Amino acid sequence: MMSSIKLGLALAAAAVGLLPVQAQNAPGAGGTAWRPKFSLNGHTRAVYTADGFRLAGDTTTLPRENSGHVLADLGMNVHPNDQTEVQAMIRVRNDYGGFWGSGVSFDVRQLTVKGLINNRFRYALGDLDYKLTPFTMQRTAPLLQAGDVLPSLELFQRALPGNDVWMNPDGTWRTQGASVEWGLRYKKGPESHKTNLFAMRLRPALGGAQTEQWASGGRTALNWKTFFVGANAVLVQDVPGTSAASLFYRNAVATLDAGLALNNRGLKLKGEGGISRTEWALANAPAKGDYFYHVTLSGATRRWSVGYRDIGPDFFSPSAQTTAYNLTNVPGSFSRTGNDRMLRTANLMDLHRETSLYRTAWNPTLGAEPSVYLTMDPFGVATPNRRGLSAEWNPTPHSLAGKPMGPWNLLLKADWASEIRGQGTAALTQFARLDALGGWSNKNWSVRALLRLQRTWRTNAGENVPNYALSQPWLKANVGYRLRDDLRLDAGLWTVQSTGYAFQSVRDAQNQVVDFVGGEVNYREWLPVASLTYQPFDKTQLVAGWMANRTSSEAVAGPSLSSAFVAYIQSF
Amino acid sequence: MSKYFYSIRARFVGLVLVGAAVPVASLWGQEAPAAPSSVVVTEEVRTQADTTEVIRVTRNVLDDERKRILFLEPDPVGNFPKMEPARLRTLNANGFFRQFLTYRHLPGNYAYLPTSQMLPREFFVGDDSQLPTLMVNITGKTRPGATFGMDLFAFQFLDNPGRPAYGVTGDLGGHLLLNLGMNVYATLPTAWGPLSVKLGGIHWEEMTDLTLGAYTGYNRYMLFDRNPWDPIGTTPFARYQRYIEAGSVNQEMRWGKRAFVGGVVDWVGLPHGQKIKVLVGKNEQNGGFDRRPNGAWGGQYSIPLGRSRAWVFSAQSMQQRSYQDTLLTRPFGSGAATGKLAAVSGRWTASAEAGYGYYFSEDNGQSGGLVAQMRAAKRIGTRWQLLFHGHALHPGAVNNASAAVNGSVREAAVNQIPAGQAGSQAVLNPVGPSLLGFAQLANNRFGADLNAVYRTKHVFLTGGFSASRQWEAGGSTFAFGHPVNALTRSRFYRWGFPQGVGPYGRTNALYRSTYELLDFKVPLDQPLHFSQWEVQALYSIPVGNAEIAFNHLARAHSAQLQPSLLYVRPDAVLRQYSSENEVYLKTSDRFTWVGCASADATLGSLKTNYNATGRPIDQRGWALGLGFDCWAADNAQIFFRHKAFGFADRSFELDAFRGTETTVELKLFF
Repeated sequence: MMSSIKLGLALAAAAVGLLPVQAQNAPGAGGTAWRPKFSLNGHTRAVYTADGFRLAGDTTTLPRENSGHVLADLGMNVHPNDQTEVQAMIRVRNDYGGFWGSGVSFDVRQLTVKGLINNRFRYALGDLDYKLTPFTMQRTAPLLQAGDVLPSLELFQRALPGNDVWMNPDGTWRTQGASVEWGLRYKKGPESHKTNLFAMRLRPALGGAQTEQWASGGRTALNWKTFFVGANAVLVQDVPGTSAASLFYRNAVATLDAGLALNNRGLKLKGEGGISRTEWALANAPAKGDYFYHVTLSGATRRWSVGYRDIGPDFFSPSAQTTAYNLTNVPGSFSRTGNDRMLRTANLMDLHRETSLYRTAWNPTLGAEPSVYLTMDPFGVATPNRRGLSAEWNPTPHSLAGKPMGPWNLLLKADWASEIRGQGTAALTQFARLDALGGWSNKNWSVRALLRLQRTWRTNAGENVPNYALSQPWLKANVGYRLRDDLRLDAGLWTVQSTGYAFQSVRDAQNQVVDFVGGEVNYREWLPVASLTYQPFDKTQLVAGWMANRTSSEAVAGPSLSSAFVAYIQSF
Repeated sequence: MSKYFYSIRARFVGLVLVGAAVPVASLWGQEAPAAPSSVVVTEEVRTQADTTEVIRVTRNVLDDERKRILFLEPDPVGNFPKMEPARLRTLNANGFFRQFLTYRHLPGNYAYLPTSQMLPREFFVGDDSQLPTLMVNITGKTRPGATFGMDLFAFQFLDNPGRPAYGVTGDLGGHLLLNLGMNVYATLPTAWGPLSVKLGGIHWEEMTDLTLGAYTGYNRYMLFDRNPWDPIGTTPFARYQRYIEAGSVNQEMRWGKRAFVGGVVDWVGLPHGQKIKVLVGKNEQNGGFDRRPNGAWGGQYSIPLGRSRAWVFSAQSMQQRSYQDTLLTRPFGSGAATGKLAAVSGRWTASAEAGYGYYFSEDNGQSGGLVAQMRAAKRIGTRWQLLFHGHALHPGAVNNASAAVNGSVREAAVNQIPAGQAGSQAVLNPVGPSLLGFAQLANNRFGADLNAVYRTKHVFLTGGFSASRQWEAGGSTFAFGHPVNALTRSRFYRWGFPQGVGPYGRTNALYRSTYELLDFKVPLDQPLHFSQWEVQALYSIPVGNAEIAFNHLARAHSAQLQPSLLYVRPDAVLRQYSSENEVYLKTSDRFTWVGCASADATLGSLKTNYNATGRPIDQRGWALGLGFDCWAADNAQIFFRHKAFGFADRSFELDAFRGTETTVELKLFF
């Protein structure tokens, strides 16, 4: 043993020596120079919408609504020294119609301190935007991640509800806590060894009113030029004794991920696998554990990939399976409709406008699955109880520099999956999906479209239960015309259908399936959008347009909504 | 333990110890990867103090693509973003601090509310004119042509001693809020000149008097009682000196304009001098957060005519719509659309505006008619100027966004909350004939006024006569204000605008003023005539190193049933006379004394309210004041005012008060 330690020390003595560490902006660091002690960042936006509502036979609902606001998110960035930074962002919002200060609200959006310890460890404390891998911690929104086709609709979603709930393109979750990162660099062997650790406060006890809940974990990874291996862990747990409750939740996810470049022509193999264990301190909710693995083989030159995943039915990872939105929430506009004053069901147009439909915290239970839109992976790539293949190919010609060439582009995706455990039956439900996302453009015109074909089926042979047979085609299409370099006209349409017979699992608060609800589905939704976008400066857009939404279920027309909007969005 | 295990452990320990070499650690993590389509050479401009540095970063795009193919990196994880955010280009802040204290001594238990009597003494810190102690105007410039702005205000009432925080409470006196809201501005370059876009609110906007504007009169006013938004001059005496020299004082941005929330687009610099303005949003009358469609919109187009462009034609419109019910089946609204021709030629300036104004509601039906106004002014020599003004507004024409008061149409409201109470959408102005300001526009009236101005370096004389009459007879009430002590009276009611208060339920509070409402015992079947005289003398006299200036304003108004130059007989509906006098004594560049001595008399008739013995209102008001303006430091002035005031109605004994009011104001700009 002593000889081994001596060997280690000898190796350390042979180390290249401590590399000079330079905090960003230090003299000689190159690239960056002086940074002011105080600066501002953020964005402003002004939105006005004139909404209309129509429902056959409804004589009590307000048929038109107008609303709007102007707000500024001002981030104050303070650099007391090169090793420390404080970012405080306040939101000042002025609702449309307010005079002399009425309708004004203030909110603290972010308070974070970042720093370097001894120029080696990077820490952050306060509000964090954090993510790990797709199976451990990542914000998923499968309804919004099918492909960017309708630019003004997607801009609206990003700029309004997406911005309000801190939905970043990186897929991070906004949490509060602390994180620390550091890295090691080697002259021999791996290039680097990076470690990220975090602790997040998910739920405060508030003096015993509820049980304190924390999340902790991190990632450590060794990286070579053509190979990496990493270990990830996320632990979510209630802290007993912080309230009078006797029900405690604990969920642990641990994974290993690795990647290998197989040759010098871009063939790469990546994968992640791991386990989860969920415990409820409740006798009739036994602990559950399961495993998963996900492997992809991809070709970087030809831009293709194939993958296989096997995600156990009891694999639960709340930080990866919680969707960014919750369509069971009630939208803010026209909340109650019909002469019975029923709560209105949210639709795709609401999803792109209403912050109230979005989640800001992880869900310990999978909850309801929005099966009218998706059945294969309603909780994203980490949807449990799935085993299947996926393939992707981008045949668009690319230059040597990796730039798409030619007027057209195309991306094809195919997925097939099957349940691992039947839901109320021994028969397994199968899922298939085919996506074709493509476009064509020239100097002035551009056309972009997504065609998605989805089928779900299960044959309940020998049982007195209808077969599961659901067809869910989507079509998203947009035609754009560039009037000038800074002025663009777009018109698009998104249609969704869901027809057949479907089953939905009903889960309790402990994530146990307690019932299966089946029924005929005959759902159609149309979402046309037209807009004029003016971009006078970088990161500044003025959009005026119109969108509408019409649904029908069981051949009965649902509510029709329309919205004329003007939005001015400016980042700085 | 096996040697194999120890060997593995030793290798791991060695690995860690060797890896104690630490990579570059920055606050933000890593540089952003170059997109495959990024430019090969980028330039980055950094500015530090007075130096500007241009850094060129060269990146070989092919190398990036080659790396993407050959190498393998895990997706970034951990804390985001990995790049430092961009910074705001410039940020400016300016504003003012204005501490305002009032001490009032009013013995006698004046019944200012139906159920309350005035306490004899009151300290009030702050200003119930809704302007705050601290106002900070913040504007940020994100890039050339794109800015945003807001004004943050805070009140300090000295009513939270020792507490850690004052809290953020509602408007009209909340401790910390936005006063005029938040605005986003953009100046968009176009091929035909800059397009200015303003979003948010509040914006102060004007078009014409008949479409969008506020009453400004002939700049005849007194300066002893300061407005909270009054600017301060380079010296304490500068404001009074300017008044004498120019006949007007510098006003801040809201003078003559209306508050508007929403979007405003201005396009100037169009070919041939054309201009376009479009407004969509809300004005004060349809403000609020009710989601029912409830807004205002309008616009103006103007174009100079002729080769010399001495003539300017403009077409403008302002419309308002609201609904009384939630199913939007009971709309009501008003508006006006006019054309205006203005000309400047030598010593003449003239303008004529005419159009159509209307009002509609379920209860009122549709009403509307002519709205017209003309002005002409001629300079005679270097010292004289004559001004003529004529106007005619149909009784059915209502436009509360204009400078014209509605006194003939009882307007609908989106709710049933009475005027003056929180959430009310009712208009505060009375419905019925009123004794208005000199040449103030009102519907159901037509008339004309003639004014003359004489000026020299130290003398400014102005005066005028206005005659007008109702278009159609009608009205069951008659409203009038008090030129003397108007502000003092409004301070009895502080933040609210109660209606029907005072000892006899005749007083109604407005912003910085009050008015009384009289009832006609018998509805009038003849149109009312109004005769108004105003004469003002402003002059200054140098006295050694000092300078003394005087401001005398005399008014004589009458409302009667026949035309008259000035109806002085007791059977006039109302007669009002006032004499307001101020003196400003400059003793140094940093100190000016001010004084005032004013009185007014208002006499009613048996056509309106009278007491048990048959005597109509017979009111006398007076004020004697002394104060000073002191330049405390650069951009900081102290204003002190002490005023003794009194009022009594000889026919209605309870309507009497007498006291003193002392105010101290510290105002500094930054």
